[in-house]
Amino acid sequence: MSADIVSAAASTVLSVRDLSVTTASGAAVPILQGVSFDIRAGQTLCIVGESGSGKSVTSLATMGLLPKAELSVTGGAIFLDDENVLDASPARLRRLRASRMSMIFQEPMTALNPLMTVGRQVEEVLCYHTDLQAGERRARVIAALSEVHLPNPEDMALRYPHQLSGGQRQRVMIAMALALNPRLLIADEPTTALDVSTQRQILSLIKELQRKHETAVLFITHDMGVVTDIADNVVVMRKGRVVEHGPVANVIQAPTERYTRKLLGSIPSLVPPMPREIVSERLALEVAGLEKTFFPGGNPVRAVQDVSFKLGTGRILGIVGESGSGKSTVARCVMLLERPTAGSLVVAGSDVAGLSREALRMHRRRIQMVFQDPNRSLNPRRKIAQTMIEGPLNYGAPKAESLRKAAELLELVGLPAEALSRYPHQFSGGQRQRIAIARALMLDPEVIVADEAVSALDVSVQAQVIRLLKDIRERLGVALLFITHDLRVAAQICDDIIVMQRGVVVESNTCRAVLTQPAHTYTRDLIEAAPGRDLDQVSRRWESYVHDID
Amino acid sequence: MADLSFPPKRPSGFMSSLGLHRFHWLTLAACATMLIIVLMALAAPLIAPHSPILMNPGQRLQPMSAEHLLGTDALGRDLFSRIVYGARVSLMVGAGAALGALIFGLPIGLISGYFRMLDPFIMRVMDGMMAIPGILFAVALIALVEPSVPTVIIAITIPEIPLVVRLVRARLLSAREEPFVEAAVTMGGTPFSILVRHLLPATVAPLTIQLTYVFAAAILIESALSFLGIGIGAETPTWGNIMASGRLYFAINPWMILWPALVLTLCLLSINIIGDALRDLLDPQHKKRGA
Repeated sequence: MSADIVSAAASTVLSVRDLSVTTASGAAVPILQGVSFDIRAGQTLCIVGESGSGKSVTSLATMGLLPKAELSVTGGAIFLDDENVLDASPARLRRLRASRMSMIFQEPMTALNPLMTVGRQVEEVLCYHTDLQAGERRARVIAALSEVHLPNPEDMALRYPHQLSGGQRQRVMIAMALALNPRLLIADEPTTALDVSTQRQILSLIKELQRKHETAVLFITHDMGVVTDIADNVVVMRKGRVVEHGPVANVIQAPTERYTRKLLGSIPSLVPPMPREIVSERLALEVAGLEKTFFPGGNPVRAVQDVSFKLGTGRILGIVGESGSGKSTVARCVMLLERPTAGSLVVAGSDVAGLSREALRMHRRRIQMVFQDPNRSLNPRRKIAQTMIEGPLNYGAPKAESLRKAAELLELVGLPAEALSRYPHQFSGGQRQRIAIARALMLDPEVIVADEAVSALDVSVQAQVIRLLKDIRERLGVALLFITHDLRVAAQICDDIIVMQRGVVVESNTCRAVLTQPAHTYTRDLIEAAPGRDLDQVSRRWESYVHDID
Repeated sequence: MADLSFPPKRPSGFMSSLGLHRFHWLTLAACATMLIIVLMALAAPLIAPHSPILMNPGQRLQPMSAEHLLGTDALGRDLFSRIVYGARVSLMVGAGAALGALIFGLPIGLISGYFRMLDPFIMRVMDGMMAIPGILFAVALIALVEPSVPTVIIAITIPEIPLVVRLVRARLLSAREEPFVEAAVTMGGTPFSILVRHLLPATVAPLTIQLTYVFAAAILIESALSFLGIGIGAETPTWGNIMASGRLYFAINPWMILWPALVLTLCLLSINIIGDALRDLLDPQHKKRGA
């Protein structure tokens, strides 16, 4: 990489030495233990790790933004150009932020003030840290916005955050962060909330500006694909410690630690396995001419237009697309959480689109749903047992029998029966999603709709849940409608795929055909934009490490 | 599956929250004060040394003494005994108003928040009710019917109902969007079962807090009404009545107003502190940090 040649001569911008952080109240639980790394000017260091690894705490400590009531630094030093940030006064820290180091966040909508134009927000940074006159400031704002390639920067400056797309908002955040030419840019999962194609544009923008200004970048991500695309050096973190540290080529091509191998092995491959044979001709779900039009503020928005597909018993059909493609609306229409505007919906042989309220209630047991965020799809106030048997009780099943079944299904998803007497918050995210899957099975449905069911999970947990879903399909013969934005996940689980764009199906074929010989340009773009395309071979080499015990 | 760590079972949140060490001393003091006032009301005949209504013209406007702990009023009635008995009316009015606001406000709020068809109609009625000033409404109602404890409770409760309805409705509007409510729909739940299992529990915390404030407000309004002479009959000892009768003699014997006012203030302060403590305790974020 060309950055390596530059960096040999470049000075070290950020040097973190033996950083240790513990919780401030009660027993001091270690959060970070002896974390050390350096970043030189013009280089990108990626910190990669799963949730709870301490990667965000590291970046907050660097910015001097640790919540003091909850976390305290117990040792080590953070040098920003030879100045220890940990010793800096609050006033000095304020001056350092924005001028010497700045940060961009995951969700640009919440990081921007919704009541101020974006131009005004960029200008505010200049107001605080420079003595520029109003005219000069405005010129700098326009220059900053055009540097991040926003079209019509003069016009953009006058807009409010909600009038921009997610990618444009993140560009504004970058313009703001780089307005004063800081030496260090900290990017905390800046592309996680974005679609793959937008993600690719933002990554290349960060790279471009970094090269131009010789900025050191501390990039935090959970996505190994992003790491291979952007990093010079990698720090792999786990439970507050640095597990592995080195140039990206070494860490990715020849990882020495089991944990790194496990992370790499968990990345789902973009190449689908050989297609399975069709075991049953029976159709579990048949959707024809599905339409859904919303009327926000009176103007019709056609969220879903003429979507048709067939899902056979024991098959897994993926609906992929970016945000706004209408894939979730299709799922909600299929579940009849939204009434479709037009079209027919046949579940296990009977049309359900026009059912009366009571008939609909009786029908619901045949089609169940697994939601995206298991923290919110399980009622936090109810025990797992109450949650699990709610469905059967609604349909008049005896309680004792339902409890027995709940215990069996928990076992099927890999949880002990004692889980029944606990509350959702006592489980990890992956365990909660297993519970949600078990709940969906309680009513012996013909079809399960999984709406981004693995998107909120860490990559290693994701791999386990995908395996579980395939296993359940195998054992119970249930049909699965799998909604996802992630082509890698889709490749690993789906038999067939339909690709949606702006409410319309643009491509529909077997999974293998869609991913290896995409017919539509949009599908090709999606595959092209998936980060870390060269990771596949590495990933397959470490596949066996997925089963590693934590 | 062996690769899943399974958390040990924790003691349930409710029991550990009963550990008194976790509360601020102010909260404990407020609870103790309320306990004393409640006991005072319940055991009034045992505590009060004299009858609260027995007049004794020979003993008018006596200062504090061993015989009359807080002195006597203009009709020679024992002030301490009247304050002790006054707690009964105040607590009854407070509890009655809180209960009334709950009984009417909660179901209306649930219906309004869940059944969107009825919502606009119910809310406009509630807006109308909120437009009537509370004290004026009470004055008008009591002018129409005989002043008594139930009348006063009704007069105070009605203006509080829209506040409870709005609160329950607002909580429901956000709770019904939760994925676990949609999950309940997909599992064949009826509107009634979803309301009871998933939505009603979500209103418990804000409602409990709101009701402590209704409780305090009701006691205050009752005192104000009695002070104005339009509340419960002047012969019944209430804190407001005692203050009203002391008003004329304020220059001679200010204690006649100050003692009931002090008890009233302590009572209201305690209830509000308990309400704040409940809010901290029931706040889910607070709980998460504590867990």
